[in-house]
Amino acid sequence: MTMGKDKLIPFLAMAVILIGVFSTLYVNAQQIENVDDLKIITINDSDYNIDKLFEIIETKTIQTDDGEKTGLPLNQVLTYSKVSCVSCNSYTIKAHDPYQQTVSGEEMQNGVLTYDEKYNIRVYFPNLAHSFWVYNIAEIEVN
Amino acid sequence: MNEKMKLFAGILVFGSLWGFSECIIGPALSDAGLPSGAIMTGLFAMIFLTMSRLFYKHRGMQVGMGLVAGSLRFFNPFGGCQVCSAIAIAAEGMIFELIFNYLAEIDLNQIKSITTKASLGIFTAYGVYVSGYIITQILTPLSFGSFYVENLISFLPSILASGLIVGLIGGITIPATIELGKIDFKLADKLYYPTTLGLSAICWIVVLGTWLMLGA
Repeated sequence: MTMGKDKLIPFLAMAVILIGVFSTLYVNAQQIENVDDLKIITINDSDYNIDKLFEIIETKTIQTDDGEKTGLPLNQVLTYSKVSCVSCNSYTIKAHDPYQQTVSGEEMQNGVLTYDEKYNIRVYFPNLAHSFWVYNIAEIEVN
Repeated sequence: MNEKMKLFAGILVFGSLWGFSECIIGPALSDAGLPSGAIMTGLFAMIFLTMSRLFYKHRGMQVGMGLVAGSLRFFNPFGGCQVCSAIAIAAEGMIFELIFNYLAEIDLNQIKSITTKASLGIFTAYGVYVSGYIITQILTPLSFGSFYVENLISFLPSILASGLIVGLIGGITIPATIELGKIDFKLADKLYYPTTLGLSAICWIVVLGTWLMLGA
């Protein structure tokens, strides 16, 4: 091991620790703790209460590689939120953390929107990788 | 030729053990509510990758191990996104290779200072995990037709934050593995192929068998 690398390696280790610490502080500062905020999902720039959506729209069950998933058909959710042509757009599904994925209108026709007892709102798609199954959703943006 | 075959068997066995642990131990840790990705990379991946480097002292081996482990993970019936995990594992092998080729001697026993070993562990584990995570966030959407750079940028702070615990685990794992590698252990020639190929076969049979039994 040369002297140069002997000095460089601890410096690099310190640098990644600092990057990790500051990123952790930044991410934690963005966490939402109010449950009422988690009940709200923004779709096409309008806010909707997830409980209300489940009262209005009928659920459907889809088959995924992780078993059956029951939720609101995303095409109906989008139509309810005044998207006139679901298949004509792509959609960016944004989580609170802030993970996000962009899904085509065609795939949105097959997906469902669900939530659990902790108001963790989530989407499932039968034909997409699990990385598209965004959870803790805050917004569905129409592109 | 004999040395090449030995190396190939080494890639196969260490890659298979790594892939097997990702398939069997990873989901079990996840079910127990533990950060399985961080533990798998910081502990298991670093142990297998560093051990192979210590035993074989051959550049390029860890890339092959990543490909073997990633292939095995692709057939895993347990856990979440098979494509994402397989890509991430293959990428992790390549990143480990790049970092060690640049920063470390081919003979890891030449690194004397514990600070250097721990620092190498922190930087390598963090770099491997974060790079693998970023690569899979690019390649997985691409494999489904489209990748949007703004999706990656918005999630980058979370990726960089999640690497911290992996780096700290690696800061212990890699120095400990280098120290354990000093124990004089040599497999007799006549036992080498039966042991390496047998262990590899067990790993693949268990994972593929489970995959087939659970309905592919």
